[in-house]
Amino acid sequence: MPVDGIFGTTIDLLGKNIDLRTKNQNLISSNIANAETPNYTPKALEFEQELQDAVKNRSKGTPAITNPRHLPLKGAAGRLQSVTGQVVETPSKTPGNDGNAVELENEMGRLLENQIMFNASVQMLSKKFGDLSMAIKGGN
Amino acid sequence: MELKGIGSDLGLGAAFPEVSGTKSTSAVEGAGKFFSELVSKVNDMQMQSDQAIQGLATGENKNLHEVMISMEKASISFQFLAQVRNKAVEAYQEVMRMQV
Amino acid sequence: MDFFSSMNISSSALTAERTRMNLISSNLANASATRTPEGGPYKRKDAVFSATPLESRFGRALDSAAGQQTRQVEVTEIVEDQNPPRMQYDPSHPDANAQGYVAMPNVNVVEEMADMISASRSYEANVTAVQAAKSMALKTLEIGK
Repeated sequence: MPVDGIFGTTIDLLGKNIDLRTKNQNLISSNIANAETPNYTPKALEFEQELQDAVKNRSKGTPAITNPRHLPLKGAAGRLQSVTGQVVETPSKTPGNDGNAVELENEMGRLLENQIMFNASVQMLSKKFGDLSMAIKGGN
Repeated sequence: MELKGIGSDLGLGAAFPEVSGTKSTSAVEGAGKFFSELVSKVNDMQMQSDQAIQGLATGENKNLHEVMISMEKASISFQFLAQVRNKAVEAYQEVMRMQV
Repeated sequence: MDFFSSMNISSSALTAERTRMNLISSNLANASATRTPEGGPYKRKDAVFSATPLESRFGRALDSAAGQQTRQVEVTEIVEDQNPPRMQYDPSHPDANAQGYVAMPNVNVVEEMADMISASRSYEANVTAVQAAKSMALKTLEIGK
């Protein structure tokens, strides 16, 4: 498809970043909601290392096609498509008496960081699209 | 106090520091060289801003301000290039319109 | 991907914390009630929270690994504290027993105040989470503006 070539790796990367941060947002909301539930361990989504490997072509596996009707993408776009992130448990070192291991301050910090990076990604993506459309229109 | 003329060391002169030294070649070659250097510089800026964005998205570079500044630089230099091209094309068309 | 499940999770937490606040208020109000319709002094009530998986609208098969790990919070039951009532010596009280002791509710006011602070802190944290999800969703609408 010739027209896909004008969008580079960066736009795919930003799109995937936004996707992963949305999933992370759901997990962080779960952690904050269950801050008082007994025997709950907080969870987080780790994806930055996987993204780095996919972009720099250091990944070991082959990209999986999640839906048989998807067209297989070549190169970095295909690798980026298969990054899903890993759910890791991040219990606090000092759980409470009821077994709850959520540190509320940590979760608020992570919530803020996620939000800021998400907003930054959205803004960068819209700026790239704006630049592209300005180039196509001929500089006006 | 010495009055300096417009263009002596204000913005335009500073925008093309290396290119303004080439006076030995003819005007056509000079203009071509000027454009190709400008294009390659703008391309470099775009690549740099892409690298910065990738660094931020994958978490190896946490400097948000650097990324925003380099994006803005790339965007503005690209707009500058487009306008220079537009003006050059206009000037060419104006010349071709002249009745001989 | 949805922001609405994030908001649903946070709003379930707001409901649960509000239930807990209601129970704490009821405990504080009845800290000296020696008579109840069930007989005997008032017994302190507590809410049991549990983390339950979301009921997805589109079926769980579409959820990724991250989606299946999200949990909302529910108040599964309200239990009565089974600690024995506090006995206070007051022979002139109409409810005094044969030895002159009155069975007072097993409510510790200081503990209830601490629980109240913790519940309101949780509530504020969840309100912030809702606002964060809302601002992210609104910002997404600006792609391409």
